[in-house]
Amino acid sequence: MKILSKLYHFLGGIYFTIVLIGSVALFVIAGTIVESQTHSHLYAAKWTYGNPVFALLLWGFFINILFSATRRWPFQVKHVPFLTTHFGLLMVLGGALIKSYVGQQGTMNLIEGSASDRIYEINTHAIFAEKRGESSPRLYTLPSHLTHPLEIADDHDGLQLSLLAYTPHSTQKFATWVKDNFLTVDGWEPIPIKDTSDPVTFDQLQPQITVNPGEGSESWEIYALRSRDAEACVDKLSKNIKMPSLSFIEDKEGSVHIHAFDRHGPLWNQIFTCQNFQSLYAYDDGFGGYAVQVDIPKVAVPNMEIIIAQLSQELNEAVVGNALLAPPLQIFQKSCQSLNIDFVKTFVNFLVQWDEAGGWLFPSSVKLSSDLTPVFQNLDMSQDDIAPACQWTVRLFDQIGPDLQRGDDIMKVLRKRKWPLMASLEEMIAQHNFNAEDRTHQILSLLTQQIFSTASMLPSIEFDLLIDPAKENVRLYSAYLRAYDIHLRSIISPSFATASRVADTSAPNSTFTLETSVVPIGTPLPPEKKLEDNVPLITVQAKRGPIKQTITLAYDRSAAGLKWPILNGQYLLRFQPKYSHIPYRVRLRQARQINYAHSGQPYSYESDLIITDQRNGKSIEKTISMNHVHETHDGYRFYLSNMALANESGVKRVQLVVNHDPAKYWLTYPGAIIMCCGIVLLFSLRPYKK
Amino acid sequence: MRYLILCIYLFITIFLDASPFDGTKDLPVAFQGRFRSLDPAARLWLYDFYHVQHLKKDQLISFKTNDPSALELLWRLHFMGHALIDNAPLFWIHYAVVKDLLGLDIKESRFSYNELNQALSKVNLSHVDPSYIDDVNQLSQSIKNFYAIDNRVTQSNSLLAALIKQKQASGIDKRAISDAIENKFPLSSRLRHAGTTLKMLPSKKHEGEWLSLHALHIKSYDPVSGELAPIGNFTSFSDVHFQGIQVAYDDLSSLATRYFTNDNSLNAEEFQLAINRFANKILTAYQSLEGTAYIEAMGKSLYYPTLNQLKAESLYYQLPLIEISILGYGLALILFLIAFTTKNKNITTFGFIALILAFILHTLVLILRCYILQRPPVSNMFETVVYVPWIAILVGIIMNRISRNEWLLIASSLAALALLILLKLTDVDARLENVQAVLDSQYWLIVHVLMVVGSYGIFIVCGMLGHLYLLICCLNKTESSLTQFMAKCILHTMYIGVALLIPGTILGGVWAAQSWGRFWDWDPKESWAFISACVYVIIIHAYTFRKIYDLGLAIGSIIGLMAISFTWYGVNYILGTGLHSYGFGRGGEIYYFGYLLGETLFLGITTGIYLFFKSPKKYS
Repeated sequence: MKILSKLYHFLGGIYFTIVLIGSVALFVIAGTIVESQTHSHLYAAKWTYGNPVFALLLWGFFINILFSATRRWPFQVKHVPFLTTHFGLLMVLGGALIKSYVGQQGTMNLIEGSASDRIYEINTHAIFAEKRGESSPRLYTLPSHLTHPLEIADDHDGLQLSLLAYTPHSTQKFATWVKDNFLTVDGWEPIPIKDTSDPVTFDQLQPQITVNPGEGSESWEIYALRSRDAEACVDKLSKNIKMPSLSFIEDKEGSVHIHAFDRHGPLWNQIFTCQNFQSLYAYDDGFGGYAVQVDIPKVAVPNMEIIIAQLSQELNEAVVGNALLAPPLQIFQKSCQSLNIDFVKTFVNFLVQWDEAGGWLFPSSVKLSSDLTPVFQNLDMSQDDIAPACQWTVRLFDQIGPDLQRGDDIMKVLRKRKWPLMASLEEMIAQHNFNAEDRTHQILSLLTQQIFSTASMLPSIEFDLLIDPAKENVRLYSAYLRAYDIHLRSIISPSFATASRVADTSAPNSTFTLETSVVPIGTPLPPEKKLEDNVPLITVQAKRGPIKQTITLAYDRSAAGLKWPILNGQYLLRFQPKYSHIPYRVRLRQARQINYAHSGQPYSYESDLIITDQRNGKSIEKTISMNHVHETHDGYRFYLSNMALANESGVKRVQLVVNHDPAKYWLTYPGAIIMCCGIVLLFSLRPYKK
Repeated sequence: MRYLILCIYLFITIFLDASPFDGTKDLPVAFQGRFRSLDPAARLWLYDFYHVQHLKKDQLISFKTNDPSALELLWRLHFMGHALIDNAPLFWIHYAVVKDLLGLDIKESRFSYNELNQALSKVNLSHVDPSYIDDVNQLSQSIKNFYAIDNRVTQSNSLLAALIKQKQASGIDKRAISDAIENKFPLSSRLRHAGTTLKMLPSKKHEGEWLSLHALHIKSYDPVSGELAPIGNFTSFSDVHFQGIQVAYDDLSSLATRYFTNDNSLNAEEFQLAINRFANKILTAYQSLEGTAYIEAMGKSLYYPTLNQLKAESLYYQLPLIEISILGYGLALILFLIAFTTKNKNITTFGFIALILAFILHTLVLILRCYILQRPPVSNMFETVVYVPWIAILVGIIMNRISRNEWLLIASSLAALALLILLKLTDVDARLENVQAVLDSQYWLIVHVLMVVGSYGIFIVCGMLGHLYLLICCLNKTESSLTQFMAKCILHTMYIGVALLIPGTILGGVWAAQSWGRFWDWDPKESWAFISACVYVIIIHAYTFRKIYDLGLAIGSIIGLMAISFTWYGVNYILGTGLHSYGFGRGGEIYYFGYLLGETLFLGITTGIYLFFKSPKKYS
């Protein structure tokens, strides 16, 4: 009994008071220092304010104050200031305790136009589960300090969740086109990714497969690559690609660069980063999984028939309209007329045959079709003004042709053969600045023109026309046409080029859509000191009946991200904070930031809310701002705590803090007032009594 | 109030040497988010580049002027463009590292536009130490701001003229020309980009947006005459006033150009008249706006300052009120000490008069800030450092009137002197600026901040008394009736301080519940207010229950002062984290730790000496 009495007096005594206040102060000092070092309020709270020892100290306070008061029993008038102060303090402490057990506090994230009645408790963990076909979701609460193994069984539903692994911090990415080491496109076999070392050589860039996207498009060669330097890779590809191609290049960040090329080079591209997508497709509200799509322009097959029809049409119009035809066409027309053959049809036919045969001049090895032979037999290629030029051109190309076929540079060949007009040719080349791909072609054109312009000074060469006049004539005639730059390619290429170079993906049927599923990938990271920044990662095994499936979920702090399907799409899961419902549904109509004039400094943040009481359906409209809260008649308070742009469209996202503190008005605030009065009484009365 | 300002104003204008532009000092201008009078705006504008509010006398030649005032420099740049002073040392750089980085002379502190422009073009930001990147970026920004000063209106007018000529030559009709020009160079955009200096014309279209005076010279295409013509009233002033301003400004600009090119034929009187006429026109026109709201938010509005507020603001920047207060408090302190040693009552009276005079000026600082900004003067570091010593002096005077003891005045004037000198030595932002959105609650600023920050003032007096107590004990080697009296004062001030600190902090919790959504969450500022309260509560409890005596109380007052200093300065400057981020800053940590160390040494030495040499005689 004596010990108890001693303990009672110690617990209500001054030494205990001083030790308690001192210890609490030391705890708080440590807390502020930890917080400034880590910039993490949560970290500081974990070690100090949230520590059980700290709570014990506060309980010690409670006891100390209570006993120090009871020790003064029976009370006298002189005890009034002391009692008032300490009674107020007890009320404040009691209010804080009641709030922590009965009250509600949480945040509500709203974007303009949206509504909610859920408040989220920060730094709590829960698994949110939606079952297919059921409207009300379930919430499985997890402890705030996660440990595994942990089993959660929903007896009602038969769903069993077990926590297999937990990592305090991670980063979440989304795998799209490239998963593991395969390019995955729906409808295609997975294509293994080739890892190219840098610098990339083209040998490594061989196409993996060829895919035909369907009617009206050329086939693609598909490249599936991984490279640290995606740009260099694309550069290399665009220089070497000869066929329409599609490349998927994964860079070091995991982003996938998709490039489409046609024969002439890069046509179109899009980048898929692993953090966000431009668009996302959810199948069956997410139960069927998520996918991203890409619309790739088709590389149209150059349709010869159409081109030839167009060409014929144009020529017909020219002939009918009596337009002045180019000299080579005139002599062809003459030959046709004398044979009574359709000029346009025959000429176009010749162009097509020449194009198919290839070669700068019509090759002597290719046999002319039977309908063309009489025309060329009849063709008068002996006119003085053109014959020498054509003859010398044919001669020249007979000589340099084999060299060019070997792939020698034309200028080198000409220099070697001591072309007499080299100087003026070089001068012309310098003026024109040809691009690499058709340089040879352009130089040959110039060369032909040179010969034609100097032909009048050249002697005539005798050809043995008796052997096969048609065969010789067709070569001479093709040289004549070259001098006027008439060839199927040179006629159609400009329009052909425009048609395929401009990738107009908006036109119907001009694109081809590829799709792939989206898969979340969590990568564990070393935990941050600032605990608020950590994104915990859990691996959960879900089991229902005989079906089992494992899924890895990263913490979704805002509870606004994707929910992932599991168990054959029976459930959707999300790892998020705990939430509770409030009896009010809050809709954010508009949020605004008002700035000071001529300045980006905010003057006021305001939000217009519609608050509907779900119990009686009554709605009120209310504007809240910083320092202006809304409180409902039953004590729910809405505070504007944060405002930000939700996305680039200018829609704002607002964070509201909602709380419900049943003890505030009858315990905490009155307690504070009583304590303040007590302090004033204590200090105003006591000193003058001494 | 009005007459007081007028009197002081007249006093100053009579005695100070004048620039012809002095008549424009009180004109309203939009500058950095506030509407203020022109003279302060010019000072702050110059300060941003130059780090002083007026030109240094020895640098006037490089600025090609005789007048050191920022106001005249601003007008000069407004009319003449920046090219004139491209070689003048205008840009202040603090860090030697930054100067070194830019390849500038480390011994110099100010550099010209040309020097900096060249240096900045060469610097490779990827090599810059990340902690100085902000400084370099800020420098580039101020170079850009300086470059943007030039008048762009003449240029755009002649461009327009050329365009019109071209269009007319190609036979386009007038209506189409007008449409094409408006399409390509919308008038609203031309007005907005007329200039960056002297934004004195309130836009008619956008309330709260003011346009540069250059806008008055903007010409637009008149589809009737087919020529460029001056534009009509684009301001929210009445048409009559606008025309008056336009004419006066035309006049002024032609004369000013002559003035700035040192044209000897310029009639000084005529020029002065032109300036005054212009100023008058602006002020008369502004009368229709003064005191009206231009931004209305929920439950609060922003108002254009009244003409008196504008006058008060330019007065505030011109008067060295704080400096004179420092001198006054210093003089009072010396006189009190002389009086104490010579036991001369008359000298005490003189000291008291000096103290009161200094206190009046000190009060004037706070009143002017309240009057100009229309809010209690406690929303940034500068204001609290002015307010705290004011409270200290106030408490000292009141307690002195009650107890008739000069030591209270000595303690409080010591406290005030220390803080005000500190304020002048450090580079705390003294400007009159807008308050942060979350602080914008008159009611809570008054209730919470005035109480809590006021308690700091009282605790500082309490701490000073503690110092004096220990010093006197140490010198006399004994306690006396004086020390006994001082201990009583320490206790009283501590009581009053705690009675303000604890309720003030609790009310802060109520405010936090209003604006942050929670009552208490151990935010560092809250925590340290709590810690300080704990320190004082421990001391009071220990003293009340006779676990410590007067000496302990004095020591406790100093420990408490250290806790308070950390709550006030340390949380903002050393911890630098948490929600109370209004006064955050950097710098001075070394000095602060020096102070803490000095304080600890002082405690150790004085207490040691006293306890060791203490005479056995106990006080009665």
